[in-house]
Amino acid sequence: MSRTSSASDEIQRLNRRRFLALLGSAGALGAVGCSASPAMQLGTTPPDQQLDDDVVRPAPTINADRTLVVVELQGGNDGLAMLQPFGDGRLRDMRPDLVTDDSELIDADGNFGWHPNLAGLAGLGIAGVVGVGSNEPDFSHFEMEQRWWRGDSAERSRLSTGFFGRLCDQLDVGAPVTGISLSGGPTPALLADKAVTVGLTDPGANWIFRENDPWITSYRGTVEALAQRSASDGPAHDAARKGLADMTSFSQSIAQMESDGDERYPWTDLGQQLRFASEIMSLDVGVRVLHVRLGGFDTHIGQSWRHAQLMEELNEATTVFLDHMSELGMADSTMVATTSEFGRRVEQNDGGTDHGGASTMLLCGPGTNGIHGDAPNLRALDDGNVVATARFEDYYATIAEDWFGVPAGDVLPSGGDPITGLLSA
Amino acid sequence: MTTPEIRKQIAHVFRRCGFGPTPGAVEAWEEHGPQALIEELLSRETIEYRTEAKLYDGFNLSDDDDDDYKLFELAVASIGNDMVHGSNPIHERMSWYWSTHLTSSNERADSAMMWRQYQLFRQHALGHFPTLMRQVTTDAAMLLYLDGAESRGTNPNENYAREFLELFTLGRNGGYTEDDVRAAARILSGWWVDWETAEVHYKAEQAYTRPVTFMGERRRWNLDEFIEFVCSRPSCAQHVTTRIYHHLVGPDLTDDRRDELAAVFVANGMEIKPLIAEMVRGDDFLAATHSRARQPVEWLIAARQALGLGGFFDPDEGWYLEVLGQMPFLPPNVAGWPLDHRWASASQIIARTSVAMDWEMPERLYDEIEPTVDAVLARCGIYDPSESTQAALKQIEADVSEYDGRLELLLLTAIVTPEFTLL
Repeated sequence: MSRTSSASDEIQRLNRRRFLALLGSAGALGAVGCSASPAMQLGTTPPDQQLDDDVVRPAPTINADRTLVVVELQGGNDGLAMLQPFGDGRLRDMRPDLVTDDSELIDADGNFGWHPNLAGLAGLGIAGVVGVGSNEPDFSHFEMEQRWWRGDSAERSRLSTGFFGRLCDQLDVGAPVTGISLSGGPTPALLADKAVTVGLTDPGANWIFRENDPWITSYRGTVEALAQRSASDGPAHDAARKGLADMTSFSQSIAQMESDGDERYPWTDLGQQLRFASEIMSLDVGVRVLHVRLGGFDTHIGQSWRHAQLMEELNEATTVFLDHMSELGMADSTMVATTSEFGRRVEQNDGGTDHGGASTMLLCGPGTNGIHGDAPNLRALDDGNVVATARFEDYYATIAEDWFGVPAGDVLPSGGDPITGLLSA
Repeated sequence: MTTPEIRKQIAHVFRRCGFGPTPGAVEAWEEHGPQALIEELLSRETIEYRTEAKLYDGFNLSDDDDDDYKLFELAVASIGNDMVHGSNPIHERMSWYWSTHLTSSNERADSAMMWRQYQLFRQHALGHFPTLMRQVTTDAAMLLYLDGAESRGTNPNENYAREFLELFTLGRNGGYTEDDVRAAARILSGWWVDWETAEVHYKAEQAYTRPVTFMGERRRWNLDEFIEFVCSRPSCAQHVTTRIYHHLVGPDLTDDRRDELAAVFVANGMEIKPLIAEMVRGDDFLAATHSRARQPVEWLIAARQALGLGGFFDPDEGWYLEVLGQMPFLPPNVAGWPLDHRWASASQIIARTSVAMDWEMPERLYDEIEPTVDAVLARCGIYDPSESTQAALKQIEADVSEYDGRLELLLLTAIVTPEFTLL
């Protein structure tokens, strides 16, 4: 199969990038394609990255052995309920039924408090980024989801890849699978140019790849043969062939996986997605971005109890997962980061909130703490909505550069400026 | 045209104008040709829809979750059986289509409401589009799904108004503004659903009844006028035409063809059947073979027919569709299920393989199909196999003995080939 050549191209490219960045450090070169070794981790961000934006930044070092777990909070997470400002009378006036008592909040930085149901995560150390959104916000789920998935606010964007897919392209060292979605099938956020990204509708289906029965082996061989191009293929055939090719390499990569049915994980949708994530990560087949999803955030009604329940679910599953990562010695290379298409209107409707503007993102991983970004002014709303103080591209740029060491310009066509202090200690 | 070419086009017509072909149907139509088949299918006029009583004798509307789930399974199985056995395939195709365009979800409404809504789609699937829109706007499941229920004129909920304009009628660039969304939310306020009876009520005292300016028109709107007004915007015919085209024909719709089709839609008073007729009679329709991936429901029905498994599935086997990622009545979001290449991705092939491996082929299949490449391809409605498909299947024929599961392996492989994956 033709993957060999593109994989070695990629390694060469990464080599070159590392070479330029580190002036040929032998340790850095050794790390390429050697994702198994924590000792090779190139964790610290070069200090020159923190220079002002108008200073030309040297290409950062790619941390190809770090892992990102994206938790998509689908439906539009109410950032003001997840992370509430203390003592803001304006907020209490506009949504009297939806505010949490200051005394119940978990102090984040003196100005903001986390939702009480996030106690587990707060104990591990979480960072919040406030005011993340679009300069020209839209209030349609689909438009905003598309922008977040694509990683590009431009309305006429013709990008056919997703932000996390492009990140996988940069992190790809020829691994059989670099990005994986466990949220009920493929996500557009992981659509990549070169890297293999796979979405599983049912994580349990992978026994097909481990069985050594001759009949099943023949089937796997046939799938590989079906991936060969034919002269009569149209564009849709190309996509179908790629699916077959990806299935083959994916199947080879996870053939060794043994599902241990780890019972510590809660039997919630998110809990089981993260259980499977931990199994894939233990295998170390080169997966760098995992995408999971927690739905139900479109709280037009019943917000007070629905949102609290979602916070509980997020907290429970993610805390178990990160504790598990610590046990496996992988906590230092694992970052959990949320996305959500938008926040909610500040003013409540009857018992919930309508679609809103900018919102708050949560990160949990090595060294995360405090609240970052500029707090939006609740007295200067735009038609009732929180005005973004950072573009979601800036949030993405932070993850790209300060977690993975991938230059923002390589993955964000509209650019993005890392948020200072969030992941760069 | 050569015989393979004719068969290929007939199979294409059966796939799009319904959920076929059933084994043998293509050969039976070969002498008449694809155009004659299109005309024959368009000439069918039966519009069947059901009452709940026929679906769930023995079950009552109740708060009992178990009963509700049984109803859900029965309703889903019933949809599938109609897709296979319905006497008017284009009607089956369009009934299903509307459930993907005018989405609601069992997550917010109960199964009986979802079932009634599906019957509403069946009733108007090929009928008058504004009437369909008027009916669905005050349908119980829709009111609950998009929060039209209990939206008060004083502080209206915008959810339905926005999706109605953006997804259902005008399209994102259909000429309305954010202010129009808020105005529409006022016009649409005042509706309630009684959970006990699933009846829908209008409460004028909860509605906003003063003049509202919507898309430049200031007046006291009633709902019928509002729907008529929206459906008569030029962007409505264009948007709805585009969405149907992407489903029925494929992704490549030129602006000229869109305008042509939208003009036919308008000239026929927004009647859906003449639009569909114009669409499937076009040269672009016959040329669009394999232009998009089969969604899981389409694939499941085709695969089960090829494997001699008859209808859709037993009511207790609904998990197949869950694994495949497309459960009727449970769309991922209000935009419905995507039509893009994700349904041809590795993830789908993996899921489809695991589902098919769970099926047991009926004994009679060993008499009906010879364990050869040609017989299996015809059985699966594939008349234009690519070189690599032929080669892969020939390899099985050479390597695997008839007594070691060759027929099963040929069939399993055939239903994951690109030709079968694509509609």
